[in-house]
Amino acid sequence: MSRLVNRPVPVAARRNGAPLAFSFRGRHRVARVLEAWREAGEWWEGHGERQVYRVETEGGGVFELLFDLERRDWTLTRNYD
Amino acid sequence: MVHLHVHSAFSLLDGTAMPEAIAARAAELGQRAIAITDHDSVSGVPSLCRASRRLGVLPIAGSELTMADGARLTLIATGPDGYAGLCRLLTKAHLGSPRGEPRLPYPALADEEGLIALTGGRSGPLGKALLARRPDRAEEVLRRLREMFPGRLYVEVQRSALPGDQALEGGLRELASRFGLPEVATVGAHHLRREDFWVHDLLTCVRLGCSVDEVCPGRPLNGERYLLSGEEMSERFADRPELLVASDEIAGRCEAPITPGVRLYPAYPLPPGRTAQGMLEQLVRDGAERRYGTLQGEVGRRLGHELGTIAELGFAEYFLLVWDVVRYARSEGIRVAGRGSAADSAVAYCLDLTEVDPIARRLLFERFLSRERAERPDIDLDFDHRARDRVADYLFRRYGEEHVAGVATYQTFQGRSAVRDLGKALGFPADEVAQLQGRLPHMPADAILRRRDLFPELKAVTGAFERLALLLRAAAAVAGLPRHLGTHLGGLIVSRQPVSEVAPRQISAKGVAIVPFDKVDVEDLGFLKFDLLSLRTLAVLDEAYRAAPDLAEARAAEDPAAMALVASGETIGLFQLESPAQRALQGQMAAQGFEDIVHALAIIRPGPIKGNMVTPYLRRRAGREEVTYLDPRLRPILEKTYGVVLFQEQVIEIATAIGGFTPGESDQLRRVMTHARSVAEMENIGELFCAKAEENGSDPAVAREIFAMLQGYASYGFPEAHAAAFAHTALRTAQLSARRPQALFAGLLSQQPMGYYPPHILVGEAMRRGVRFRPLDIRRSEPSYTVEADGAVRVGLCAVRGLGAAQRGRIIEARRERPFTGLEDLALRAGLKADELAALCDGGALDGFDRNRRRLLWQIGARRERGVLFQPPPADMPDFAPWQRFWRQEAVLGLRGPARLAAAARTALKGQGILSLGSVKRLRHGETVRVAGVPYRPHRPPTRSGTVVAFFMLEDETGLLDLVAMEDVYHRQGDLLFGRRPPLLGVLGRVQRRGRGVTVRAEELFEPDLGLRLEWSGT
Repeated sequence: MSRLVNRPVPVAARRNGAPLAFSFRGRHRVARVLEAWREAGEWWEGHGERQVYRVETEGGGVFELLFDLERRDWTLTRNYD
Repeated sequence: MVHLHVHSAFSLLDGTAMPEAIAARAAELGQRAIAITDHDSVSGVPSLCRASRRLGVLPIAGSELTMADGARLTLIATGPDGYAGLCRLLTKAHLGSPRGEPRLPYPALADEEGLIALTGGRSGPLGKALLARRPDRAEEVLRRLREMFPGRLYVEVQRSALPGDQALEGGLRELASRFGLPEVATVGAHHLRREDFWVHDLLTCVRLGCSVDEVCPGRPLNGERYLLSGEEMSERFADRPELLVASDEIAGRCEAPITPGVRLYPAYPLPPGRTAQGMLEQLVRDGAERRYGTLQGEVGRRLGHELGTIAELGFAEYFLLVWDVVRYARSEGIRVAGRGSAADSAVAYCLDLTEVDPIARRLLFERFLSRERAERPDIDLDFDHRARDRVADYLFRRYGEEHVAGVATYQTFQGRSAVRDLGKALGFPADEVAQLQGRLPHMPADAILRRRDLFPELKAVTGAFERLALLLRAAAAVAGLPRHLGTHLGGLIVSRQPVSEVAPRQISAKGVAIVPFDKVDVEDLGFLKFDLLSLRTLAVLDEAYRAAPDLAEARAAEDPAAMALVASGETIGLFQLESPAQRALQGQMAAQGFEDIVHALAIIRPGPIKGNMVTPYLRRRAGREEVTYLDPRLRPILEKTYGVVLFQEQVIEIATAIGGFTPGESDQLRRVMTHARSVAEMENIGELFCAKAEENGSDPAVAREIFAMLQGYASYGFPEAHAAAFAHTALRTAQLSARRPQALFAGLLSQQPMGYYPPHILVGEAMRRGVRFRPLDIRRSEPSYTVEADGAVRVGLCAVRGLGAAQRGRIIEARRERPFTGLEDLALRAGLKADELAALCDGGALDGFDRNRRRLLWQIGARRERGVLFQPPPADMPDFAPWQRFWRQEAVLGLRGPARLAAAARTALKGQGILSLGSVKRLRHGETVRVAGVPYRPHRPPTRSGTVVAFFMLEDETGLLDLVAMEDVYHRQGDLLFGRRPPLLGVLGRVQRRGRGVTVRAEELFEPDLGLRLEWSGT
C-alpha cells in the first residue's frame, strides 16, 4: 500500500543527483535507492521532465521522491507502508 | 557503436522520423551504420538505403516482428539474403493473420538464415516474461530461439530510465550468462532527439485513441528512446562497454540489403528460337509497314536509332510486356490509350501503344529514353476504369499470383488531416477543431503556421486561435509523416522471382495482395511497375459512342464543329479543356487547328504559367507582338510556339543546340532543373549551362538570358508528346459536345465522380446547350443516363445516392422479366431494402406508382418499422409541399439545387439590383455589375509574386460565371468565400472581357437578402 503525499521537501543529494537524505516529519537518511526512473511531465502544459527515486531509508521506510529537472526542486510524492 | 533497434515513421503513429532523416542524423553523429526496425514492416528500407548511399552510411534492414504470443522480436538482416528472409517472414505474418494484426508463429523463424535475432526490449519475449515474473517462460523462449539462431542470437539490453529497469537487466544478464549468449545494447529509438519526445507521445495518443490528459497504457513514459550519440551511449553503458562493442560486431556482419540496379523483370514467354530483341524488331517492322507504309529513309533511321538504344539498355522485354497487355485489352474491346513521354517513341507508335506520330511531329526520343539516363522508360497506359481489374487479372493469370502484386501509397499527414487527428489527441473540443479544419486551406501542415496571416478565413477563427497554436505546431511537426498505407489505384508490379522474396505481401482493404512500398520504392527494389491508369473519359467516350455510333470512327481533329466549339470557350465537359483557366484561354485564343489544342494543353501548366509565358504567347500568336529569338539557333526549335518554351522537348533541344549537350545529357539537365531544391543548386546548373554555351559560341549575356528563360519554365510542364496524345482525346469530347451534346453529357453524368464539375453544373450546362432531361423512372431508367430515341436524356439509376451497382443490376434484371406492378413487386423481386426504396421514391423514380411521394414513403416506413407488407396509406394524406419534394429529391440526386435556389430567390435578388449570371455576358468591358450565385470551387493558386488571389465561380439558373478577387478584396472579405460560405454569395464588381471570355473582377463580396419567402413552384 502507498499513500499520496505530494509535499515539497528539502533534500540533500549526491553529485549524480540521487538523494542522500530528506526532511519530512523529521530527517530521513537514504539507505539505498530501490528504483530510479525518469518521467516526461505534462509537456502540453509546458511542464518539463522529472527524475523519480524510490528509496529505502535507514529507518526502514520506503518513499518516492521526485526531482523536477526544470524547476530544480524536490517533492515527496509517496510513502509506502 | 551502431544503433540496431530504431523505429522510423513507418512504425506508423509511433516513430517520428523518416528513414532519410534517421540516416542523416546517423551521419551527423559520425556513425558508420544504421538500422531501422519498424513494427512488422520494412517499408522504410528502400528510402533508408537511398539516403544512406548518399551519406556513406551502411544501411541495415530489420524489423520488430510481433510473434504469435504478442511479444516483439527484433530481427536484423545481414544482407540481401537475410532481407529476403525477412520479407518471407513478414508475408507469413501478414497473410496468416487477420488484416492489420500480423502475428508470426515461432516455428517459422527456423526456416530463415541470414537473420540475426535480438531478444527485443520490454515488449520482447524475454522482457515480457521477466517483467511478469515468469523466468521459466523466459528460459523456454530463449532455448527455442538459441536453437533457431545458432550463433546469431543476442540478448538485447535497453536502459531507458523506466521503473524496473535494474531488475530486468539483472534477469537478462543472468539468462545470457547461463545460456552462453552475448548481450548487446540498443535504445529502441522512436525519435531523433530527446526534445522530439512530445511528437512521439502525441502520435501514440492518436494511435491509441486517447487524449494527452489520459493515463493510457502503451504511452511512452519519457524521452530517453532517441538516437543517442556515441558519447551518450558510452555514458549510458559506462559500466558495460562490451555491450556497445557487440553492436559493432553485429554491424560488421551486415551488408546493405538492396543491391542497386537489380532488375526483377519477368521473362516474356517467347516462341522457341526467338530472342526478345528479335521479336520486338519484327513487331516494329510490321507496325511500321502499317503506320508508315515504308521502312526507308527517316522512318528506318529513326526506328534503327530507337531499337539500338532499347537493345543496348536491355529493355526489349519491357516493350514486349507492355505490347502484350495492350494487345490483350484491345482483344477484349477495352479502350486503352498511351500517354506521357512514350508518345515520343516511334517504336511505341508502331507497336500501337500510342497514337501520336513522333516522326511527323519531330518529337525527341531522348525525352522518353536515353543511353545517358539509362532509366527504365515509363509507358503510361490509360484504360477504361471499368475494365482495369480485368487487365490486372490478366497479369495475375499470365505471370502467376506469386509474381504480381499491387503497390501501396503512403498516406501522409496533411494540414487538415493532421489538425483533425492531433486536435482530438490534444483534447480540443470537437467543434473548435471542426471550425479550424473547415477553414484550413489545402496545404502542407508545416505551412499553416507560417502562412496564417495570408488567410483571412483563418484570422476569422475565434479568439481560440492562440490556444490552437500548440495544435498547429504539432501539425507542423508531423507534416509529411505517413499516417497509414493506402493502395495505389493503378500500380501493379510484376516480378521474375516470387514477390515475397523481395517485398512482403499483405492484403489491402480492397482484399488485393499489395506490397507495402510506394511506386518509387518498388522501382528501387528492381520490380517492373505497370501503371494501369484508369481514365474515366475513356468510359465516357465508350458510352457516348453507343448513343452516337456515327462519330466513333470520325476524325475529330479535323472537324470544324469541334474546333469552333473549343474556340467559343464553352468547354465544360471537355477532357482537359474545361477548367476555368482553359475556358478563359480558349475564349482569348480562338483555336483554329489541332496544334492550337496541343499548345493550349501545354500552356495551362505551372511551368509556363509561373514563367509568365501565357500572355506573350497569346500576343505573339495574335500578331500583336513581334516574335523574336535570343539566338538564331532557337528559331527552328521555338518557331512553332511563337518563340515561347511550351514543351519539355524544347528544353532538351535548346540545351543541345546552345549548350552543345547530347540529347541525353540535356534531358538530365532538364530533370535536375525541374527538381532543383535550392537557389544554390539552380545557380550551379546555370553556371554549367552558360559555360558550355560559351564554349559553343554563345555570347555570355545571351547564354544567361536563355538559361533564365529555361529556368522560368523549369517546374511542371508537359512533354509535347503527352499534350498531343491528350489533344486527340480532348477533340473527341469536343466533337461529341458540338454534334451530340446529349451523348457526351449522358456519358459524363454516368461516370461521376469525374472531371472538374459536379453533376448539377453539368446538367445546367447541358440544358443551356439545349439538352432535354427526362426524370428518373423505375420503369424506364437504365443504370446509366441514356439518350432516348427523340434525343432526350433519361436520368439513370446511377444518380441515386445510396443505391449501389448490385441493386441497380437486380432492378434491371427483374424488370427484364416483366414490368414492375407496384411498390411491393419492386421490393420483392429486386430485393431492395427500405432505405433504397425511400431513396428511389425521393428521387422521383416511383412517381409512376403514385405521384404522392409522401404516401409511398409512409408505406415504405410502415414496412420497415412494423415488418408488415405494404399497407394502403390513409387516403387523405397530402403530398409534400413543392419545396419539400424538391429538396428531398435534391438530397438524393443533386442535379439542380444551386440553380433552383437562385431561381427561387430571383425576385428578391432583382429588387436589390442583382443581375442573373447569364446576362453579364451582354455587358461591356469595365461595366459595374451586381451578381449573386452559389459559390463553387474557390481556390488560391500559387502565384509567382507570392500574392494571394482568389478565383471562384458562381452558379445560378442561367449558368456559370468566373470571378476573381484580388488580394485586397480577398483579405477584407475572403472569409465569405472560404469560411462562412453563405448559400448565395453576392458580388459587386467590374466586367472583364478578353476575347470571347467574360469574367468579373470582384470589388466587394456580400450576402444578398434572399427574401422572406422563396418563390417555389413545381419540382
